[in-house]
Amino acid sequence: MIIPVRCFTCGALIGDKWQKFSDRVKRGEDPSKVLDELNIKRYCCRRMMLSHVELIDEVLKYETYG
Amino acid sequence: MNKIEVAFRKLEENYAEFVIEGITPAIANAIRRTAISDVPTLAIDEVAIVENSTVFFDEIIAHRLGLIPLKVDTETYDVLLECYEEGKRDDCVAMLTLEVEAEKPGTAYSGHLKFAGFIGEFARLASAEVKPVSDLVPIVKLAAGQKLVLEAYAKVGVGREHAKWQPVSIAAYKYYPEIRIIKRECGEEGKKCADACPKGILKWSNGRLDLIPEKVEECTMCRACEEACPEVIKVSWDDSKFIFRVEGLGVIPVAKVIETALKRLIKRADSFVETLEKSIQTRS
Ligand SMILES: [Zn+2]
Repeated sequence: MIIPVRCFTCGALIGDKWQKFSDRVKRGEDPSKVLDELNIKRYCCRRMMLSHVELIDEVLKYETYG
Repeated sequence: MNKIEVAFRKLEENYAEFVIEGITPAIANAIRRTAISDVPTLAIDEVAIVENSTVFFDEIIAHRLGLIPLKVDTETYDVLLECYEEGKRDDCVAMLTLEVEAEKPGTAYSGHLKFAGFIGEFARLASAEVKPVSDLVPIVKLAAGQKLVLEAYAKVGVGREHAKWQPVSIAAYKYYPEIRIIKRECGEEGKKCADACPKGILKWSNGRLDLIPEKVEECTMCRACEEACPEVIKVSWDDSKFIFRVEGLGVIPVAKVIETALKRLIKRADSFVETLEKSIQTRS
């Protein structure tokens, strides 16, 4: 739904790095390079980014409030 | 008893790498486990939702808030630790507030959390400040017109109770590697051996196989070199010497985490001795 705050496995903070990661990958950069530069080293944390789908953007379209 | 020696290879605010010599695996593991699960930190534990018209349930938001690491300075930390150890955790609570109203689609970030002071008897914490380690953790996304208003209460707790109170993400150790080259000059065979090492610890030149001394600590003891040429090299380890790696979350400096872990471990051992003595006395 939305990027988890921490890595499920090791507990490192990763939520704050999602926006940068997503923006740069969408611009066509190599995900592996972006992860290295964001200092996300372990594969447990890397999969948090690589496998994430920001579904909340889809849900927001159907907001019924206001 | 052996003399214990500690040598730091790296010591940064949020990362430490060090070698301890002269302890047993049991003690090394006790240090590791204490650092993860028994060093108290501050995390949001109770949330009062005033208004929530976002797409998330109150519970999801409360859960996400809990996982946001909160930073405190070391003086404040000492007071909080004392408070926790005296069993008065409900008397040293930090209050934070959050109020986000979206005029256009946006995100509520951890940076929107405002520190509103400590509640309880701990007046000496008046000058302290509690704030998220990072201001960029998204809590929830909002569509135009949606609103999130809440009060959050951060309490002191330990990782054993909930992972949100862990001060470190990684606290791990490995045995100190001992690599013995039995046959240094073994011609072309040696090249196969050097190439097998995934960490590049071995070098082969002019028919001679050598260790690169400054890289020895990187050895993972995978024994790929041993497999490639069993007669040439032997990999083993020293079970009284450990390489520790500790990566902090930024809540308190890692040096402080290790120090607190050791102190808590000693306190536990002391209370064990005390209980033991008491039970022996009551028997006699
Ligand atoms: Zn991880």
